[in-house]
Amino acid sequence: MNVKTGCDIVEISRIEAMLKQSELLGKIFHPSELERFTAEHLAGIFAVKESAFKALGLSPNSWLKLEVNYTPEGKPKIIFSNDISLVGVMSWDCSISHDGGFAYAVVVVLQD
Amino acid sequence: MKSNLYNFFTELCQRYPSRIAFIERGKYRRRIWTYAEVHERVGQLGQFLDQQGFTRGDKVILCAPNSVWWAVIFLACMRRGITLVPLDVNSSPDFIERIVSLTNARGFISSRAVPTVGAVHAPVLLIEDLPGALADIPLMRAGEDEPPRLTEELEIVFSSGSTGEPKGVVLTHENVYSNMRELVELAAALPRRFLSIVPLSHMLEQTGGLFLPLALGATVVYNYSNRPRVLVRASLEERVTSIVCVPAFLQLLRPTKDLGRLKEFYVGGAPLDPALEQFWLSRNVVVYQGYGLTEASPLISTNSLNFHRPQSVGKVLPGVSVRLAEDKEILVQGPNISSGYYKNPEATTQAFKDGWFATGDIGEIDDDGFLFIRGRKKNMIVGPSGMKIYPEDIEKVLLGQELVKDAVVCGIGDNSSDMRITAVVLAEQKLDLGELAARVNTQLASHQQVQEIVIWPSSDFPRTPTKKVIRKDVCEYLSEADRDLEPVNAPPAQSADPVLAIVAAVAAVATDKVQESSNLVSDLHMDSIKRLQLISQLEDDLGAELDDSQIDHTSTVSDIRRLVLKTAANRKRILIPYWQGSVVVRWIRSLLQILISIFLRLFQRLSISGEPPRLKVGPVIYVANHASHLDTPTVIRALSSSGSRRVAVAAAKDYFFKGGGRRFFSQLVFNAFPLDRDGNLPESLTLIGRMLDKGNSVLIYPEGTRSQTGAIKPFKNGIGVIATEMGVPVIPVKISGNFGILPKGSIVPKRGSVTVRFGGALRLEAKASYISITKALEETIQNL
Repeated sequence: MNVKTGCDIVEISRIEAMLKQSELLGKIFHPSELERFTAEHLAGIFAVKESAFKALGLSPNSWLKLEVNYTPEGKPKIIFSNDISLVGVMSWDCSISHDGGFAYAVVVVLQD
Repeated sequence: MKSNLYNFFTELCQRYPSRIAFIERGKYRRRIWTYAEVHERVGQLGQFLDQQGFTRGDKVILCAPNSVWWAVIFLACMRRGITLVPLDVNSSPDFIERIVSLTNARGFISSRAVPTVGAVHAPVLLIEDLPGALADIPLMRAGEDEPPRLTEELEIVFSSGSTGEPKGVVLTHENVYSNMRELVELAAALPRRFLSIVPLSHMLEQTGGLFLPLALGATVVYNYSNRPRVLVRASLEERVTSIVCVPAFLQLLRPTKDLGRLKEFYVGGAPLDPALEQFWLSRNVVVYQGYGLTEASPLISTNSLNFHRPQSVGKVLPGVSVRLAEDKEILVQGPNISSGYYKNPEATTQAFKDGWFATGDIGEIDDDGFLFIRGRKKNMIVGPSGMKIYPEDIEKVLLGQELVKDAVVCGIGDNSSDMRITAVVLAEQKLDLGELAARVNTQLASHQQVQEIVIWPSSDFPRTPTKKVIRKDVCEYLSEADRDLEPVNAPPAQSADPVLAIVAAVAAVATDKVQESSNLVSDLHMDSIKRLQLISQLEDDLGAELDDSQIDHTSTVSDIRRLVLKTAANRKRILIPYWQGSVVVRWIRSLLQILISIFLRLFQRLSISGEPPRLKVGPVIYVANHASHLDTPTVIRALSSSGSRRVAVAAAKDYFFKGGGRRFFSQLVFNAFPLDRDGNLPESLTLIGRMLDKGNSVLIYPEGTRSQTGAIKPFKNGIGVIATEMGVPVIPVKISGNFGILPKGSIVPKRGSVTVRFGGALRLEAKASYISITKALEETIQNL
């Protein structure tokens, strides 16, 4: 069994600067993700996506090929689209943290 | 009684029911609204507002970008006697909340496109949800409701981005209606198409860009984006004749070569550089400059077809009186002038004296009655000898100089005795400031002499949403005295090559550091956010819709250039040729399709379950599984039984559109258009939108290719985006049996029976993710 990780840190102010560019946002986030429209929240989702690209070795433009959703308890989870090959992937998990104007995320993938 | 805005509007709709009132240009779709349709929607929305408990005199805040729905909401509130409070889309959540509590607003209408809407603590009604909400509301009969009285409040317009207490101008039905009527009298009855640019939260756009066109029975085009390149394209494609704008836009449009049918600009909101007016005149575009203020609903004077004097703001409107105070301040009176500021008696008494409104502008009137504006009273600088200096006069001279893009003149100093006249300029490239000062001063009077010129340290001045320079911010920055503005530090020379310049700007390095072979990541240190910004900047400045799936960490500057060139070439290539939709070809296509259906009968027994939508539903998207080349003719055979034969088929670009016979055959017989299976989603969305606009339903196979086993393969994610963005019903279709007749790789069909199952139209949730929609579609078709 293999463990793959990916992590990413984003300055929340950089996401804040994007908030007025709705077309740019549409390239990165699903409508469902834009529902909670705060820079802090979006920065966390952004960091999860970037971490997942790293963990799975995906092309860095796969923003819309995965979605970050929340469990009723508020824990983030990743949903992959069919466009991402998950052959050999057994399980995955992610976590987000915010502090000092930064959002940080880590993604762990288990492969057989 | 005809004399109010609402009755006026109703009458117009009855007079020109089938004329086009609005053209709504979405990113991928284009929709036409007739006057009759606008009237219907306004009636329905009025009833909806009733149902929501809104009554006469309630205040409703509207904070949304310009759109047909903005206009419909305005008209519906007008009809119901609800006072609208329009706010600029860039208002901060704090500001919005302050206005909500100040006005006791009963409602807050906004749009998903407003970035701050999620952060506002007030119940919100989203424009995007309105079409759904109105679907079940019956149309209203004429004369069912009591029209508003002229003296009722129509709207309260707050100045945007202001610091301190927000000041709301109260405008009645009479104020706005009288202003519009005078304007209609002046405008010759020519067929016009307006392109909407200035935010509708400003009176300039409301009266000039909405009420005037409606009163003339003209058309207003609303475009989804305000990016200059996209606007120019919209203007050309929609054959726009007239634009209401601020002078900055005239400057922005200057380099545009092809202007199509553009004939006139209506300009207001800021002083117009005479050279700019001349430039446009030389291109046969007339610039009508007017003068107004929110407090005047907004127009006080304007040039027109019959009287036009360069540099002046035209003649005072009939019915409006203007006189000059002792200090030459313009005072105005008339039916269009507001009665005062909302809940702000102090500001009201300050501005309104003896029935005259003090505009704060200094002006002159010549012998022929033309009004000239010298400048703002509050911008006036009192020089050492007590002379009055209008910064606007000096700025005009500066603007006439080569290489000066814009200029602001400030008086720096605590009192008049040590007042220094300082000019701040935006320059296109490095210039000799000492020489510039000397040159400018020869053209200025002795009390106007500029003592210092500095270059503004960033690429543009701070501006209001209507692109007016926020003079106060510029001057404050200057007078924070010891801040070291490096007077000689001109911005880097603009590179002649736009791609290089944009890459350098986004990477924040000098242009000469950027080579063709520079890698975006390793050489220019662009992380993913910067790469996204690069794409967005390229799209903004070059009008290119880039296939961003092609840009990654291995990309170099020359790769970017290649992509930009490719998009430009792609736009020129006609992907759906004209003949494909022509009447004759459609007729031949129907005939061929009948022949093919007859041919299919020879070996295919067809049964249909579920019902395809009837024609009057309008175009839809059929989403089907795919296992055989027979699938398309089979679906068409199944659809023809219900009479909905106009279908365009999305066909793999790399297979059907390589050229030659296969391409021609698919276009002729199946009305096929190319779909890029590996990525280029923007192109696919554009083509699908175009087909739907032409009234064709679209058939798509989201598996991307024919199944090799007959089992349904996982759907590609793009279908989720397509289904969400196109705004038409999506009909799931399951085809079973063709795999047994003609599987992939086989060329001779066997006999067999086929079932086509149509599912009910899928209602897509606007807030869903593309992934969940894709999966829902896949599941629905599996289970049909």
